[in-house]
Amino acid sequence: MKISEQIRDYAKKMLEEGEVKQFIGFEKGRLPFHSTPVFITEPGQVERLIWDDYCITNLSKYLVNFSHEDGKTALVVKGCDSRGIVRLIQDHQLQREKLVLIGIPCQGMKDSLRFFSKGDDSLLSPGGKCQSCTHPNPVLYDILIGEEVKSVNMDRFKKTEEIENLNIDERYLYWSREFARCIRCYACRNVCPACSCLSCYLDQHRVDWHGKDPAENASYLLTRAIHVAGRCIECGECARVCPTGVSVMELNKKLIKDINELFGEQDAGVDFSQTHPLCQYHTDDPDDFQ
Amino acid sequence: MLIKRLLEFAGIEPQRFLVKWVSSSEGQKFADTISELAAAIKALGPNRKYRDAL
Ligand code: SF4
Ligand code: SF4
Ligand code: SF4
Repeated sequence: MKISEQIRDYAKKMLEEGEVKQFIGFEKGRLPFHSTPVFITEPGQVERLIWDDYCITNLSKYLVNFSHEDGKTALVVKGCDSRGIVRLIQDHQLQREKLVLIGIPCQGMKDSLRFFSKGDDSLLSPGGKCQSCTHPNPVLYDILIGEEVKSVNMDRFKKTEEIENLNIDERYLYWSREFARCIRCYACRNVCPACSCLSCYLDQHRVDWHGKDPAENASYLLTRAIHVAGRCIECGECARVCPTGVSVMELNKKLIKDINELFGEQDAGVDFSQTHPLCQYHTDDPDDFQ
Repeated sequence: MLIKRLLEFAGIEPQRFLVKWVSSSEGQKFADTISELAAAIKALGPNRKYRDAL
């Protein structure tokens, strides 16, 4: 049976039996090569659900909106969605018992946003975020549809190393051009499963607290990266949704690379036994404070 | 450590940033630390990076 049909069957059954209050999946978007998240609450609507090569959105962050409501939510999870959910549960933003997760191993999704904005033929290959995906298989699920897949993970830190190898002035030039393009729409923050504060420091409107002057973009983007350091699950959503193509992800990758080098290899949002690398202390931690 | 590396990655001189343990009983160490930091920053000159409107 096709994956789409299996998803519909599960959704229909769960909604009819009242096991869940809503089912989050994907439906065909209005534009070609585009699938968009959909929230189904009526069994009669399950026909809208689909599964294809464009289900790239990480759905986990939506759950925060429903975490205080009664009743369960079911949703389809790829590797990156499931890691987002693990992260949000670890951050006490979600309750596992209120979720029913339909895991689907992911072959890599195509990025229609890149196609529309740049006419990029990356449409034919997995989107930027999927090229360095280390966990395409769901790490947390109740039901698994389909066969597990192998991670493609090509050159996870290739671009990070390229930037590291520039000299200091070239690095400044590179980043000042990136930061200059930021329009402070905060899409990168809103989509992020590691950014879950209900009131963000950026939404404090005191005059001169954190302006939207272009020169302050640097402090916004660097601060955001630090706020998710050690919790970023590398889903690449921040860079995918950026309307001006700022390489937000390279800041996260740099922090992940450094954390791995300094405190040992680890991947956020993969298993519950893991502790936050920046919230613990070991006597053999590198120490250049003295 | 991470912030220092991130700033360096973004093109800021790492000498501008310092975190150091100094106990409240180590007055001399505190004074020396600040003098050294101030001298290092003076040598670099004022930072204009990410300050002037881009
Ligand atoms: S990041 Fe990984 S799990 Fe997420 S859509 Fe891409 S390949 Fe699939
Ligand atoms: S910072 Fe970006 S890659 Fe990391 S969890 Fe948030 S959206 Fe995903
Ligand atoms: S999504 Fe892009 S433009 Fe919007 S705030 Fe983030 S970096 Fe800036």
